[in-house]
Amino acid sequence: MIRLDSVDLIFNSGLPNEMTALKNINLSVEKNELTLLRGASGSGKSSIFSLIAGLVKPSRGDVIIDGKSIAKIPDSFAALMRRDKLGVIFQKFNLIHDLSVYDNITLPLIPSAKTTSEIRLSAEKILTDLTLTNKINTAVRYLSGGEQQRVAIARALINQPKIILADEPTANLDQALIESFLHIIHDLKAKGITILLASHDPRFSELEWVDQVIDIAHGEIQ
Amino acid sequence: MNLKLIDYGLSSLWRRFWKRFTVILIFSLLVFLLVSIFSIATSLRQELGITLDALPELIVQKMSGGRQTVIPAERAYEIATIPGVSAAIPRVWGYYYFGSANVNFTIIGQDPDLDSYKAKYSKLFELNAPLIDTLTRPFFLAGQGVVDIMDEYYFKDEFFFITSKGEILNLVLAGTFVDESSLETNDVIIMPEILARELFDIYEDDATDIVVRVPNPAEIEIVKQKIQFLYPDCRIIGKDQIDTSYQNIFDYKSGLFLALLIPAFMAFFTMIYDKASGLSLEEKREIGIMKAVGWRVEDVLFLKLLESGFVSLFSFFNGVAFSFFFVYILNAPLLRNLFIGAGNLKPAFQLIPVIDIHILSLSFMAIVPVYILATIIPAWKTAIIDADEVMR
Amino acid sequence: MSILLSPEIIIIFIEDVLLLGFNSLAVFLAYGIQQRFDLNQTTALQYRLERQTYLVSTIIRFSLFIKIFSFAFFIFTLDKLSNFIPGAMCGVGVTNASPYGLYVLLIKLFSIYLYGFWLLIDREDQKTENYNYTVKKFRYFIAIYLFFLIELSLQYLYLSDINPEEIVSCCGTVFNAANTSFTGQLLKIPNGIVLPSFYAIFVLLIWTSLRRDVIWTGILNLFFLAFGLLAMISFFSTYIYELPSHQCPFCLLQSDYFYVGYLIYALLLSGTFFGVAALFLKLFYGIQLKVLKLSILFNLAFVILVSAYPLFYYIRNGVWL
Repeated sequence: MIRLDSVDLIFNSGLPNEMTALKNINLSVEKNELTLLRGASGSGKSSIFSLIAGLVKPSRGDVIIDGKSIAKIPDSFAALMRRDKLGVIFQKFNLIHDLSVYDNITLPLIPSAKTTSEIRLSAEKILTDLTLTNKINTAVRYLSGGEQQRVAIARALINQPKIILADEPTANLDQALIESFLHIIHDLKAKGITILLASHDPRFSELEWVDQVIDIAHGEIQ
Repeated sequence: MNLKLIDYGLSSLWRRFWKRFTVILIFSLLVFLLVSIFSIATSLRQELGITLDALPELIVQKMSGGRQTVIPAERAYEIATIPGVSAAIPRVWGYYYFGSANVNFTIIGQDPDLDSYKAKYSKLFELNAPLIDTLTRPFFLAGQGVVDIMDEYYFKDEFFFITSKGEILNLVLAGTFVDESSLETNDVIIMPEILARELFDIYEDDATDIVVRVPNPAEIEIVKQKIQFLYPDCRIIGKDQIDTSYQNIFDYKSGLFLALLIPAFMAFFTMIYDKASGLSLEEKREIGIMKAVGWRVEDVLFLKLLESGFVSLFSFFNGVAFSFFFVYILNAPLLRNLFIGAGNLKPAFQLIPVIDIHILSLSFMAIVPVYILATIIPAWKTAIIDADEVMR
Repeated sequence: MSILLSPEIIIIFIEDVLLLGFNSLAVFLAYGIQQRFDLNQTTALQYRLERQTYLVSTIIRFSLFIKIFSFAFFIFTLDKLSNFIPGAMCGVGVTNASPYGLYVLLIKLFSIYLYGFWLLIDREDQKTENYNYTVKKFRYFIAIYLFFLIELSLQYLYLSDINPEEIVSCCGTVFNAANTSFTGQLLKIPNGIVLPSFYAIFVLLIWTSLRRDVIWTGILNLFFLAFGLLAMISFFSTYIYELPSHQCPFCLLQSDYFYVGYLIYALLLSGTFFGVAALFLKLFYGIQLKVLKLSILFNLAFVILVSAYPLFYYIRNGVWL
């Protein structure tokens, strides 16, 4: 489902402030696998996510998502890939605080060809699953941390993605919320979704349903 | 065309309405200025059209030493015999300087026994001065502007004119006329021809000029040549010449004004560019999120340019509405003085409302492309924001 | 007094200066892109170029947009200037006030076609995942830009050449068959030949379009444009004015005829644009465009609209002009 073939990622290549973010990364995630990416912050986890999401292009090597190389396609096609196949849960949730819950979670589908009623239907279903229905018209800035996290999850699910990327999803959450998050992730895996989790939270390593653990440090896989 | 995107664009514009407020305000102001100027010019031109229709096709003036002088009235009979001429009438008229108020009145002498004259002014007499016996007492008629000025100097029902010979001519104000177009008649005084002759010291055989009516436009040029051939000492002015020169003046003035506005456009352009470029961190983050969740560069570009489109349309209609109110309801204080000559009495005219596609297209073309072009580069810069920053 | 100070002309100049500035920037970027664009590179430069393509495309797209409005506005202006130029009754007189007039109009129209073709190539390019036409389309834009410079110079020459003191001929003279000018000569071709040719070309056009013969449809569209204009001037316009001797392509743009001319010309120009565009893109870029239907649609609307005038005239009056 996800494959990185000897990928290098160099920022500002050829310039005095050249910075190698990733070196010779080989990684493969099969369909419906849950892969845990472990490493300290700054180790290159986020860069791998950016590559998989097509937000940056590799300086060398190839990135293949769902059987298709995205290393050299135009930005617009990378964006279409994100829109169709990917759901991302960001570390800081990255919600738009002025907008309502509904507007936040439907944001990915606004430029799509889906009709408003179709979007409405799937949004309501997801919000019911995540018990957020009563907050549908509330502006995100009035929500608690846990609610915000669930909105972020809802937004990642709105396009019925094949792949979920979650970057440090449990940072800044208390015990109860982490438990409920694990529950949600488990459900998603049960639905056949491929999941890539980046975290240095030791709790994830203990889960028996994690299929693959990859340790990363200084931009290289250990 | 993606309706959801348009909807989103509208609502995000609304969310940040106050951020765009200065732009909208200045934009509206520029549109307001443009539309007002063009409307006044067009409206005046329209008035002029009404006035010009009443003008004779040709005016014959006698020249002497390069200056206009009195013309022998008998030439009118000769001109009238030229085929194609329906009438040739000698006129007695001139300017009268009223020193106290520092203004010029236009005085036109007309024979009160003429049928056309009676038909035109009899109503006036009935309305305004039923008590005055016009046959026994010397009288005059005046435009509203003249009457107002006289009022200021406490002349109520009569006025003392001083003739060229220095004698006093005491005339009764018999009526005020209000015409469809006041641009021309505001400073006009009409009096019996014999009195006008006395005032200007013009002999009975002479006239100020001769007006010639030629009903068929195709014959005007030939008639003109024939008169010129008959009287080489005369200057013949066609109606179209007056028309063109007036129109040119209006066009010239609005053009000049527009040229003066160019620096304002430049400033506007720079301001838009600046405003649109200076994205707040919040906005940058928002765009980054959009791109990270699957918006294409094209989608963001479209959104941003759509926003410009909305802002420009909104401001444009704003400016137009305000300008129409200003010009046709408030009668364009200050601005209209730009167009009216200061030589004679300033006419107190009402601008005729004209809703002209031309004015609107002119103002639209002057400003909307400027605005949209100014936002292209900032919109692009916004659209290519690195989305991978939201990952970190 | 020069006409250069009239507000319309000033606005046309403002627009041109802006377009010139933005197009110059676009051509500068386009030059760099077509020189150094290399899809196999993964350098920062390549990514920067990829991003620049969006800016160039946007500028060109807006240029076309503004140019279309400007063109209509330009014609509108010519029409209005006829008030100031003695002898001119409509835009024809103003166009003929300078020898450059006709060429300015033609070159402006041609320029819009060229920008339009570019947009169609761009649209195809954005459908491909490997920038198939990117380098080609930017090379083509450099050519358009040079053409745009010629257009601006000609337009400047034309506008500064008009002398409002000089008497020009009105449409009645220019489109008089007795006139020995080129246009006059063209109009000597009797309606008995022009009209049947016009309709025959149209029928052929439909036939080739339905057979999806891009080459012939494109060529026929060029003929259709020429004969459409000719038939407009010598035949259809007389029915719009309801005057047998009034043959003029410009007066119908005036408010007296409810600006119907803008609609008529827009239909004809759009119809032939798509027809010719299909030919152009196939010949030079090997792109198969699916625009023939649009071409038929616009051309058909044009034919129906202009034919309606004489037909209704006949129905109402029982005679032909």
